[in-house]
Amino acid sequence: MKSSKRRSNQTQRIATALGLLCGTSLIGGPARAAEAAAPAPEKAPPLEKTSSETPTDYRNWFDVSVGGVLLDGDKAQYQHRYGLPGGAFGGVEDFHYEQDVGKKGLFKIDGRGIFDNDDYSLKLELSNPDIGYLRAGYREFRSWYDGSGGYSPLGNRWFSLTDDELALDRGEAWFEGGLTLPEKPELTFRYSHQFRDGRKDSLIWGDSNVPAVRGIAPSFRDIDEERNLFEGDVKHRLGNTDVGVGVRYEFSKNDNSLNIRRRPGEAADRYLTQRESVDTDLFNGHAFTETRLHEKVLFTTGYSFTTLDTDISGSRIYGDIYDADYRERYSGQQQRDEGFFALAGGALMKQHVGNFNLMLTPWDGVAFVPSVRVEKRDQDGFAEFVETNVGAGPAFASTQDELLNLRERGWLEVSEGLEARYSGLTNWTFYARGEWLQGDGDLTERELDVAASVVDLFRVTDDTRFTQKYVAGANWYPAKRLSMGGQYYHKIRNIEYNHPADSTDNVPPSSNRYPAFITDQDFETDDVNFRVTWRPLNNLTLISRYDFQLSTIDGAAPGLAGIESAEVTSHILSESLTWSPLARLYVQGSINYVWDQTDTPAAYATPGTNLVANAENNYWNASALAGYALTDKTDLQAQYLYYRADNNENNAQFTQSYGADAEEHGITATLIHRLRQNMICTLRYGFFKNRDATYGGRNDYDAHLVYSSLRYLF
Amino acid sequence: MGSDTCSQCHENVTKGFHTATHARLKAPGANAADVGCESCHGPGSVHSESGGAHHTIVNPRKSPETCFQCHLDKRGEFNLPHHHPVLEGKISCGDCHDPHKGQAVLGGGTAMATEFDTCGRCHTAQRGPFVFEHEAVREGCTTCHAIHGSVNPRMLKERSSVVCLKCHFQQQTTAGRIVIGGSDHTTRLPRGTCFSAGCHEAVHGSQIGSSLRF
Repeated sequence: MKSSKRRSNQTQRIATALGLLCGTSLIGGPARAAEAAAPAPEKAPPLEKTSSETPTDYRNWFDVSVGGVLLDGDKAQYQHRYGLPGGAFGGVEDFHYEQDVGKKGLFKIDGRGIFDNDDYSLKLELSNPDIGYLRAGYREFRSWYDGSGGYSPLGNRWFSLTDDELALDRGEAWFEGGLTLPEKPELTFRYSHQFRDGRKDSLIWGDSNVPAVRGIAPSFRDIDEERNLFEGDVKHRLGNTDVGVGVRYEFSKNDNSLNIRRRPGEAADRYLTQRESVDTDLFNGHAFTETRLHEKVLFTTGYSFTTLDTDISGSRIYGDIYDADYRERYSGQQQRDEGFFALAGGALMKQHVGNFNLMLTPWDGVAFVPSVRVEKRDQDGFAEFVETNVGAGPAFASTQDELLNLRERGWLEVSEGLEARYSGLTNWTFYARGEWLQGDGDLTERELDVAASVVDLFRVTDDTRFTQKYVAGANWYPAKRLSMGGQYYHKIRNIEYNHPADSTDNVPPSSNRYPAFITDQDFETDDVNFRVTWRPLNNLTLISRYDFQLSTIDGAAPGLAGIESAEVTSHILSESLTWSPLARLYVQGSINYVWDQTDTPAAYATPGTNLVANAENNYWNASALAGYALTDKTDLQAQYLYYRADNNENNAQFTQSYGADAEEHGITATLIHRLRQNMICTLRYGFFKNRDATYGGRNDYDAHLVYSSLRYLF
Repeated sequence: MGSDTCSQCHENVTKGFHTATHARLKAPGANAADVGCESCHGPGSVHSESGGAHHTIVNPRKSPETCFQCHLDKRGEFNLPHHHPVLEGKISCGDCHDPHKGQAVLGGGTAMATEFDTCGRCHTAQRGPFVFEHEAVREGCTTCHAIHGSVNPRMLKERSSVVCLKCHFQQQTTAGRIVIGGSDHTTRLPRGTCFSAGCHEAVHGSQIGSSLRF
């Protein structure tokens, strides 16, 4: 009895350690995933029962923490990878307080505030199941971005043009309330203000021409977005039908810019800023019903109407600095420096969507779910602006043209689905599903030169699309501790574009068949996956999974034969193990291997050069976690992380090389000690190493992390 | 404990579960008797006996490890250098997937929302509408993006021009040249990926031009 209670206590403490580590988010994504490899209570851990205390005796807690990173190498890349500032950080990692209000009511407050990472949240809630609830909160967190550009082995070129430690803060302030009186309609209301503010990197890089033209100069986006949402819903049961109606109104403003520097350090060195502002109004009304027609028949319907109205403004201006005013003459001016200013316009979209579903269970173990969805969407929009350009040298004369673009489009899509499930065989379930979509649409586009009264482009396109998807699968439980599941699906999507009007000649040898140069596209995918979960011993669980996917894309254009433009193949092998060889010791491990390649005939179109290489996206990653209960009050834990991608094909002589070629290692050691019944401290050391050859080693780092936290429960 | 006990308090969740993708896991027989709410939410006896005290049950919305028990491949993807911040706790699997009702992927098929609507709830800058749209966006963001995680920045499925050429490549009629839309791109491809090289920057749609130049 004593030994079994001791074993139970050890297991309890191991669960405690896992629970703490699950709640510790400061060490970032990959490390956190490795250490939380087993499901565990994510916040208040159950305490060892040495007295009459129960897990619910301590309802409140606060965690304080402090940590820091010593870094050798690229701080921006470390911050982006782990979501932590590359220096000191700390604060209140988690705070929870709750208090009963009356017989059934509950007041809760949760909070978090990590300084130097702009990671804050506060949530208040007052609730009573017989009355309703009021909730309010604010949360904000920072996403880090590395403002690096590309590396070209050709000439060993790399640019560090600005501070590459970019950050974007996301946040939300919200308030919601609900009235949930018994037997009365349920009313809910929510207001939310969301924002994104800061800077992030862009993959649209500026060009450099030493010794050959490559797009590698880093660029960045200034982001300034805010959004306000109002939502209200009413739900009620009328007889055997649940009915709900609701509205949503949203207005938002995005004021973002893309900032590029072209030919840095050369005679043609110049800056480019494209700014786009979009003001959006969205209104949505929706309703649903759910009716139990019969004990074997459930019928649901839904309808939604949405209007979306945008106003746009903006510019794209070259200059001597970022965000310059338009001038006809600036430093480094080059032919075909295309831009625009005085952009004005907008779009209006109207959408109607309806669906219905039936859930039929005519016999035990048999279910059918037919469903239909219909969508009608119409959009129109316009944009007027002054287009700017630069002529050939040596004059590099600037030109301006007033242009107007107009667009109308609409489509009608009908989707059907039919699912069947059979669970009449002991320890087996079988299912199959078919999905279909038929769509018809039309698109009219015009580009007008206002001053010259010339139609630069006029296109009318009719499109039809047909999608089919067929899924079949089964789950089998051959033994109490063994389960298997497998699924296959086949998906086909056919799209046809017919251009009854097109001001550009689409037939070869026309050199300008844009934009309507595709007439057919077919996408076909086969996917199969298989999973085994096996617990051969009480203390050993193995999970294995294999996924395979093969996709092809075929396309056709006027005057040209149809070809297969891509074949994408993926093999994904995943394995996870959880083992407790001793009462005090647990081990968890996982490994993933992915072989993923996209083949395109473009890779063979220019023999003798490697201008376009088939894309490889292969990788390994693995993690291992071991925990040991050193004493009744102290746990030790160690973990290791590994990532490797080796996809870079050195075709720098012909083009910019992008394939990922990186290796990462991470190792942490953690000590968890219970100081008192309701006080637990954690000390952690971590080392993280990154080597990235794709960026010529410029993004490499070695980082030492030291972290400690104290949890107090009350 | 059994899922029937969960229904006593969480009927609003359990009553729709039979329509869920995860309902496919439930089989008759003793070997599958334990498959139910507790498969994902952990043992529920303490939670039930305490009258539903908070933090006595696993909440997968707070930790994706529950989902990774079966969806091992997704753990691998979220551990890649470019990923949605699920492991960091900034978003959860439940933001894009509904495990309790209907199809597991929130948008697409016969659901009210499309796949693009699911992404557009957060990624409003790409939502449009634009005067000149990129049809690939209408097909879904997964045409170009590996939405859980990728070895490539911006979670692109391919980082090079292949991400564009896999749809836009056409029959070539001149040996040694790559002509797209009648325009010879052979001397432009060395600059880099179509958007990265600054030629077709408006990959999600453009207010300005039909070739998505910017």
